[in-house]
Amino acid sequence: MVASKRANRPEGGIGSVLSPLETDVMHLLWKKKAAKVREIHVELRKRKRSVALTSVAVILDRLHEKKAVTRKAETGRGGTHYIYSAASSKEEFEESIIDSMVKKMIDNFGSVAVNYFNERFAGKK
Amino acid sequence: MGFAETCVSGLILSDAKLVFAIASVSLSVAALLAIKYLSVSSRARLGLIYTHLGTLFFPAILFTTHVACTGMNLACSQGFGRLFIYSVTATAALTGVAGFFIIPALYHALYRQNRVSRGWMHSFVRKHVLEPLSGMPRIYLLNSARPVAFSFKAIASSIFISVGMLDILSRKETEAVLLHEIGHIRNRSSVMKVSSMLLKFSPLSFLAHFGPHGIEEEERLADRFASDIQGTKRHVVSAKRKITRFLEERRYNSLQGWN
Repeated sequence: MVASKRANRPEGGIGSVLSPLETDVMHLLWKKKAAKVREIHVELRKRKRSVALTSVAVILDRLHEKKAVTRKAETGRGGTHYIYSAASSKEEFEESIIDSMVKKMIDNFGSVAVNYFNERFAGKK
Repeated sequence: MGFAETCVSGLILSDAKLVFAIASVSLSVAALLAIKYLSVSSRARLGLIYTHLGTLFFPAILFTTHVACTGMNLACSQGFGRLFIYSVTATAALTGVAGFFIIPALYHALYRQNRVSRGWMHSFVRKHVLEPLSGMPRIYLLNSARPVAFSFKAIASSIFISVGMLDILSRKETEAVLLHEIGHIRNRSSVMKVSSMLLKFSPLSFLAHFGPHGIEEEERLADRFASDIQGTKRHVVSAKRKITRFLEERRYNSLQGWN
């Protein structure tokens, strides 16, 4: 149910499997390469996204749990904080989502799904 | 008597041993239920925790003591009465040692690499360590995004704070948390916290989900200590609000699922 709702979102791409906030966070990390929780929060606020700092921290922790981002604790002038980075490039991430979806379809529909893909994409490069 | 025979004879539950084993486990369960359902003072709760753990592991210690005494032909092998006294002493000693030395030592060893020995947190804690505290508490960083902080005073006073806590709190809010933990150390209420942590090692603890019952008074005193030093309750309150919000949102996100 949740997946089908997300699939109807106008964002498309990774927005079809991630929440709007998760999508924005991933795009920011691809753009900035590495960032702290507060830096991402500031960027989101600049984009007029009304979101609490704790929400950003929760989202990043969830993305880390799902291995979409990596993090490393670094100590600087302001103390010790996590520096988050995307675990893969945008293209690799999209490929992994597609791979996961196709695998699910094959697991659920078996040969029907395989035959469909063969007929649909036969001869196309 | 060979070692195998010694072990087997220890396992054979004579009438006396069977009675004491059943009574011990029953008392352990009763203590656990009392912790869960009775409203008792902190000292009483502390006593119940150690009673639960001690009586739960007593049958195993009774068996081990029997094997040791018989194998080494010690005085405690002569008669169940002596065996019982030695076992009770061993149980009390092990439980106390586990609570006050082994568990804290394990934490120190696990987080030794993450010890904070310089920087603003170290300076801040050193500045606010007031007499008659014995020495500067060690500060350790926990590698976790969840906002967690705790302290205890056992072998050495220690404060543990997670990187996640530092990520979401402002400087003043973090100072409030550090002062709160110093307050626990001053009030020796960390003994209560560590002892409550020991319950995780009880195989029966999963039957009763424990929250911070019975330590509200210690929390209130630690909050007041922090507020008095900072001259306002504002930072303690906002820090707690952020921590609660993170944990609630995290739990909600887990329930929602990924896709």
